[in-house]
Amino acid sequence: MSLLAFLDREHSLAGDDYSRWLVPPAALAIHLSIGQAYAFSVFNLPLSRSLGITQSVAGDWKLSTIGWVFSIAIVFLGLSAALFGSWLERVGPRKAMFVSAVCFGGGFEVGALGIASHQFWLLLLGYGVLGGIGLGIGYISPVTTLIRWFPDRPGMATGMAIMGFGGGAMIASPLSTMLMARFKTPTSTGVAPTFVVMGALYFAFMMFGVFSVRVPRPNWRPRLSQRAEQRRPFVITGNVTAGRAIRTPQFWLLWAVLCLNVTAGIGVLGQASPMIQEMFPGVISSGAAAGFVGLLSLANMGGRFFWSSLSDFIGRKAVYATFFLLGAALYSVVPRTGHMGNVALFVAGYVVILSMYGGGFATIPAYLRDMFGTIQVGAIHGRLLTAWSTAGILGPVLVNYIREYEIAHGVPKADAYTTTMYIMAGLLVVGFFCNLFVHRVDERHVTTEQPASITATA
Amino acid sequence: MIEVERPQHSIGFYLRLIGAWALVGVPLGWGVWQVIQRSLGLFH
Repeated sequence: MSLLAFLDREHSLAGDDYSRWLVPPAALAIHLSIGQAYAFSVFNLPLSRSLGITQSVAGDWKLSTIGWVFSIAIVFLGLSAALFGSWLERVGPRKAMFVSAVCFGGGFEVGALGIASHQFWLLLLGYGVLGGIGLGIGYISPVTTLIRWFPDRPGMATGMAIMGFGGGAMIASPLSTMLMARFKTPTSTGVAPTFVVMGALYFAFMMFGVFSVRVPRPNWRPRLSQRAEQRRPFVITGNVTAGRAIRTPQFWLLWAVLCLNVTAGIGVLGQASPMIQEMFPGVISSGAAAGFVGLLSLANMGGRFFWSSLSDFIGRKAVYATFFLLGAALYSVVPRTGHMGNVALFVAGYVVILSMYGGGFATIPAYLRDMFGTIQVGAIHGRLLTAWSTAGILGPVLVNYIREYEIAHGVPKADAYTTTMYIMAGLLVVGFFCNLFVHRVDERHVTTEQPASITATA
Repeated sequence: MIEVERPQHSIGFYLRLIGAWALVGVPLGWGVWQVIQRSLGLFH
């Protein structure tokens, strides 16, 4: 069997001796790899000293220029997830994961060439464009498959995979630092060989996902799944295609729900280290602030699994209502803990907030499945991720500009975040109402067609 | 709850399952441990 044939959906049908519990590790292999993107900032300083090695010299890239690499990668994540979603549903998860591995691993190699030859456009093309496409396709590739394998626990299954995206940075950050230290010489920062090794490592790791993922056979049902399905009147019984889904108010309400939830969290995540140091001047050192950022990453990752699994029991709408109400309350109260000088309460508040930020990402695929059925949920999810790209710009802009405006108008640094937090609380209240208006999709949107992706697997 | 007969699986089936989870669990556990070590500085 040729490699291309092996990647076909028909050749990835599960045999009798296949356990559905092999699918989450396959999905995790992809998400743990592409989650590296969150740790790209460890390369910023060394990249800004590519020529000078110990310090930046004339001709070295500026930090603001290097920042474009990550931004372009995230833009291409959103674009490729939206554009390739329908293709993914057609060809199946194995081929999509393979293309993702080639793009993501290849992006590192092209990026390494760019660093070695000091050609910024090549780094941008490699890690930003090619790597970004790998991120987008990889992010959505296991979603539909997991939802079909776990119709009784879709929240937990997709949450487990998306948890990997949060955990990827925890592996990539120390790994990159170790590799750069290993390859560093008096004439090189060691970033280019680190890129070469990481590209190869991630490609190999993602290939484990490619080889081990399987789609369920037609009419396959898990044991005891009836129990879960009987108590879900909110869940649609048919299917809605991706093209049709984006014409429903439910899609745009969920788009707003994700966008607002992410906006509130991402603004804090990006500013966590200076925020805690400015809120507790003289109490929190830069080392302790790094510990705070680490704790928030753990909360972000743990929240992805916890909240999405909880949604299988209490429902997606209830989980998002909790995010918005509890989030708004915490954003309003936490700045006061800063004024009281209570570090533990401050940290605990932001740990809960960041767990809900992660939970928002992880619960949305199951929410989409409830609304639009399973046949094109990956494609619909891909289109919804444009909300993430929007929030990625909106969140940091809100936090940074409001803070700068406040400081410019004489507000002390420690108090400058308070207004921002109140605005975030306001956004979450808007999100609460968007979530409240989400109702079951009208039956007229349910498809009667049998696209190729349906007949192949269901 | 519906009573179902559980199929008998080979040792290879369980080894594959454990191996797959270990392959993703070990690097993830290592990463989490690195973060926990770094976070301890917050309370010192």
